[in-house]
Amino acid sequence: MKVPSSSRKRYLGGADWCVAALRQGTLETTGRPITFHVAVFIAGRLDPARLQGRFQDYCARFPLLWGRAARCWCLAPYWKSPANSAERKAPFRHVADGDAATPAAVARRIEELANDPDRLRGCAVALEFLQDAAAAGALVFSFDHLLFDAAGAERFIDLFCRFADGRAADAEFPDPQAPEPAHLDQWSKRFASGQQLNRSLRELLPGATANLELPANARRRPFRFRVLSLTAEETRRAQEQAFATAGYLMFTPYVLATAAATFQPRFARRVAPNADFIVTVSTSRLRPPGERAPHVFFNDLSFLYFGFPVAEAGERDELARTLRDQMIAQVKAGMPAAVEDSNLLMRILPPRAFWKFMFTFFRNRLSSFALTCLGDPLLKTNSVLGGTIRTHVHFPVIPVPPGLGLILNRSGDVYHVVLSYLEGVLSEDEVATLLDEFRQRLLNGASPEP
Amino acid sequence: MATTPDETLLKLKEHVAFLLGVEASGIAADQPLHLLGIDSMGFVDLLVFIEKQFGLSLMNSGLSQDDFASLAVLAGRIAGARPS
Repeated sequence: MKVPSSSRKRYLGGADWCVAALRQGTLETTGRPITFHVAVFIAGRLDPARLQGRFQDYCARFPLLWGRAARCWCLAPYWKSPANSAERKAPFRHVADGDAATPAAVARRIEELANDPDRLRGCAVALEFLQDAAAAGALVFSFDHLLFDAAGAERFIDLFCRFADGRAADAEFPDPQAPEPAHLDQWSKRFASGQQLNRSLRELLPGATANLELPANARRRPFRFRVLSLTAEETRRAQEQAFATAGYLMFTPYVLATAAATFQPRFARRVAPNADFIVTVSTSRLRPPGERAPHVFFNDLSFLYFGFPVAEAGERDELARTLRDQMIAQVKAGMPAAVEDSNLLMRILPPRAFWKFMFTFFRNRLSSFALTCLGDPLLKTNSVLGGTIRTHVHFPVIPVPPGLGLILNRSGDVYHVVLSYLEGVLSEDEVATLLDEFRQRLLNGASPEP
Repeated sequence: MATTPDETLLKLKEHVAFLLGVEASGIAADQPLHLLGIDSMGFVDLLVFIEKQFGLSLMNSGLSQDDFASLAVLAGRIAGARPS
């Protein structure tokens, strides 16, 4: 099919519009959009001026970084890019301080960036270089979720590192304006996909479900992050436990069962002691053969929805298998494609109306927590400008409600787990022990500790 | 549908290549699936593909990690199995 295209216009997909709706809702509720940050920890001394120059030269190759969402005469939303970006400079800041690049200091700085509503105003990416007195540093990339998902961001950083060192061939650069169809067709199929999604959610847990309420004064409450980094040995143990409990390669259902069992007592105290709940898991969309892949820009996301029956909370081996079976059933039923299809349909609504509709339609059944397990790292380069890349960690802001989630990303042979939350959605006491409990359960099998 | 192990392997490699966004020629037939970079979602999609393509329901057949020692081993098992 010939796709109408223009160098300054790229139609947005269903996942992009879903992110636009979640972004708008979070902005209205908290005063801050959903952004995400990737911290790349470096060993060795980098020249800040050279880093800035290479970063800004790299970004200048992608005019769409200075673009914005707009709506076509045919109602399809699209990304409107400026004519060129040769004179534009992507935001860069260098901070040199005694302990600026320690993991704790980096996490604190990312909290500040995540709570700055103007962090990405005008440009969809920004870089801050935190350098400490020792020969160590951290590159903190901030991304606008409208233009990047986690996988695209890793590819963007990977290409940047190679570009900075002169190791990226022109052929490796993605076409930022690769045409995308408007998808203004197959209305009845898209409507049927919406029905399928609705029915699946209702069948998942027919009864009432627990929903965390947003704390009062959400606009004044900051987004926070807590980080748990597993060692290589712990990562290996967690995978072995997952394979033994849920089956070969079934890491996501195992992590989900572990996370759900960890959150459940806290939900029970806050919401209702015996309420079931539904968890949203973001995943890569499996594109049909022939579609463009892999991507750097825009969102290739889909979602799976898992019902957590509280009756199984004490039988976590069983729970892991239940969640695995739910995953298989959803993939078999084509749920990821159905989600994308129904999101394409929803592009007729402006983001604000889509956001309201989403939560009214699902009757507030989706406000528990979100989970993302990123697959194999796409940031594969291990050096940049003479520094050695030690590891990288993702820090996403989770949309509200409820603004609570876990993201796992793998870097080398270790997993990092980040708890992302809006302050007040759980108490600080509950948060303080959550990751320790999660680690215990993850490493020691799915059976509950006495 | 009767297929030889070679034909089965080719189809598996093509599907795994699609999942990973790489060329099928770059997929090693003798590596465990987890070393190829397949995650839970990709693995489930592969199982669904096998069920649709070969008429075999591997999900409930008590497969162990040994059955996925490599795509070549998996292809041999599929080719030798009867459709369920």
